Amino acid sequence: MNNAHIPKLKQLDGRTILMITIIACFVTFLAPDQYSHALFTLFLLILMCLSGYWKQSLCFAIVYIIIVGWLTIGIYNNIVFPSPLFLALIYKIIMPFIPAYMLNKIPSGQLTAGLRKLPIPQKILMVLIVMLRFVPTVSQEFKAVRDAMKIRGFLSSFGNVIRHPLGTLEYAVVPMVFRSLKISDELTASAIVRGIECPGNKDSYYVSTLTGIDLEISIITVLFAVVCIVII
Amino acid sequence: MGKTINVKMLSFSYNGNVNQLKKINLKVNPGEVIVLTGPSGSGKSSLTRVINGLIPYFYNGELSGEIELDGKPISAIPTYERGRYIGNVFQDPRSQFFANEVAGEIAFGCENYGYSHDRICEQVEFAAKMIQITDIMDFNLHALSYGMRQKVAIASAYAVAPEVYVMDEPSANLDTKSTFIFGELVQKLKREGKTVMIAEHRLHYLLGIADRYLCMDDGEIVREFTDNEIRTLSDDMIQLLGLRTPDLRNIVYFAQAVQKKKKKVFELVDLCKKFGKITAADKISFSGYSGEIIAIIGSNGTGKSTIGKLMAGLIKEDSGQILLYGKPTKKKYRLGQVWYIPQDLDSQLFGESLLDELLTGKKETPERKTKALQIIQQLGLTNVIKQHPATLSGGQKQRLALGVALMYNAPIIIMDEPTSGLDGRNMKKVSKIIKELADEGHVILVITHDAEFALACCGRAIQIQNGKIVHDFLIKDPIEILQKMDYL
Repeated sequence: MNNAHIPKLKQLDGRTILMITIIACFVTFLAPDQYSHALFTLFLLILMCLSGYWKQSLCFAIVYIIIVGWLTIGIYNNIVFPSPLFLALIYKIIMPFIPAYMLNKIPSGQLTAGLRKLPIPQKILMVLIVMLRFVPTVSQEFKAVRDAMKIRGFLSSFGNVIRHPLGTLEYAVVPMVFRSLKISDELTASAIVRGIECPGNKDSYYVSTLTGIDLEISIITVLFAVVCIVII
Repeated sequence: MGKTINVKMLSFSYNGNVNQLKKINLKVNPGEVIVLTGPSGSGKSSLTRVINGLIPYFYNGELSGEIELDGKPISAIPTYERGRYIGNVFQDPRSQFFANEVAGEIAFGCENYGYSHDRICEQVEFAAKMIQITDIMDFNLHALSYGMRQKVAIASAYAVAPEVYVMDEPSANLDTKSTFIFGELVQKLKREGKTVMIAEHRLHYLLGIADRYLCMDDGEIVREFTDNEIRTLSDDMIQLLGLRTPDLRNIVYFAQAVQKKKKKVFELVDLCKKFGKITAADKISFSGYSGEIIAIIGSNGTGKSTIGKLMAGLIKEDSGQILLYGKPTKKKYRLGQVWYIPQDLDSQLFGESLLDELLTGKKETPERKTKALQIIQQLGLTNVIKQHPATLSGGQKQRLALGVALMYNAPIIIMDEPTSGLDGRNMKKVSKIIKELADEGHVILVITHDAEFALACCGRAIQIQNGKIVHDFLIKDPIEILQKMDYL
């Protein structure tokens, strides 16, 4: 296969990116101050650029800067809208979202192939596979629900949504839950009759191998995380 | 060679409910294609689920009796092993796939059964060749049409090389052409000597392919027909058994009373919409008059739903105008005036009971409550009024969705594929109510592949091809509309 035109980091194995995502979750909550948090975020953004996601990396960077800026101004001036708690939540979540985005871009078959080689119990693996499969479906379904809400006038004006945020949320959540239940039921049934529970070692259509670059990036990430959390 | 399926005294009930299957006896010979048909809830799906092992493993309940596969009791085969012998195709292409891309999906079964990497690749290629989808192997599944996705579903089952295939309403979401192509694939499986069992409402595409048609009702097999017998089934018998007309050329057709042109309700003028490079609506112009029921026909992906969504104000037109009662309108104004009911109704229902569904979103006043009760009665839903909308059957949900439109006094109602998955009885109920609403002065547009339904209630049809209107005609002759809808 000719991979010359693909950025080298884009060939990272799903397992490596999954590990980076998990590390990012830890760093975002354990980082002692905003500087080390920003440093690790910068590191992830550079990784993202090197993987070929220039534009997305820039978008994440801009959102990050705006949130940090807003948060700082808000706290010093006692501005309570939008709630600093809400902003802080986004601030904490953005960092793990960066590797999660890259994870999402891997063909699910390839990711599953990688996961299958990890020493995790079959049952947990199944839950992971179903969850990975579920993300695109849920976003599709959400569009349908939004259309239905528009027709009914639940989203007729911005003021309406702001005045009754919980009501609006309920309208969005109830059909989503019912739809998700139905789809997850059918998906599970489809997986069962196709032998997902069959015990034994499993090979994959996609070849999933860890290469030198995976090792390098993993070591760098771990070291960087330790530096950000402990040393700085 | 295919395997013999022998069903002996099979009974099943979901926990605490009445019997779904009552002492079924059935023998299917190797290489035979049999069709299970009958009204919704008659037990067709349950029977397929017992065979593929989902009952009682996934859907719990009380099961008695036995099924033998080539003389051996199937209960001795663990559910996860059955996929080696029995391939499955389900109804909804959105919820039976695991991979994002075609090749990975076809490989799914082989991967689960522990084939080596080389053998997986071999089998995937072999299956793709047989189903003739080698050119789309790296496509994203979500970008494929439903017809293509069902092909991938067959390929995915075929890759494991089972001898028996079980399919549960595989054509419910397909357009006419895709349905016939799907029929050809069943024919191919038959030629290879596979045993095939299909639970299905639409029978026309299986004529000449299936060997036997078993009619189920209330958990029992009540009738059995050969290919010849089902083609010439009398209309009374079709009604009695609650079936879809097997041979569409035999549809008993009552011409709709030609509406005198009353008041013009809406007019589309040169409506255009592009999605990227794809033109979904290309200078669409037509008008609708009060009391009209118009069928919008054409294959999947030709822009039928786009017209509906444009009219309903869900998407914005690139150019052109939509006039309501002679006045040009903006997108936002049309929301609520033109009521769009999509194919999938689960995303539409917000209430906790039928009454709540109709009243939710606005202040509850005694007048609104009386109106809601009247609507529920008119739609024949009084007996299920306390139920949660999500627990209703497909036909009942369609009627409830119409009820919501009535509650909002929408003069124009657009229904997207309202009859997919409905049996003959429910299809007729929905068409009867649509006719009543038209008589009250509503304009109703139905986007449909269902010729039987179009003939049952529509007076006019508009055929769309590549975003353009190619025909706009009054329905007078069943043969004409069957031709336009690709049936003949």
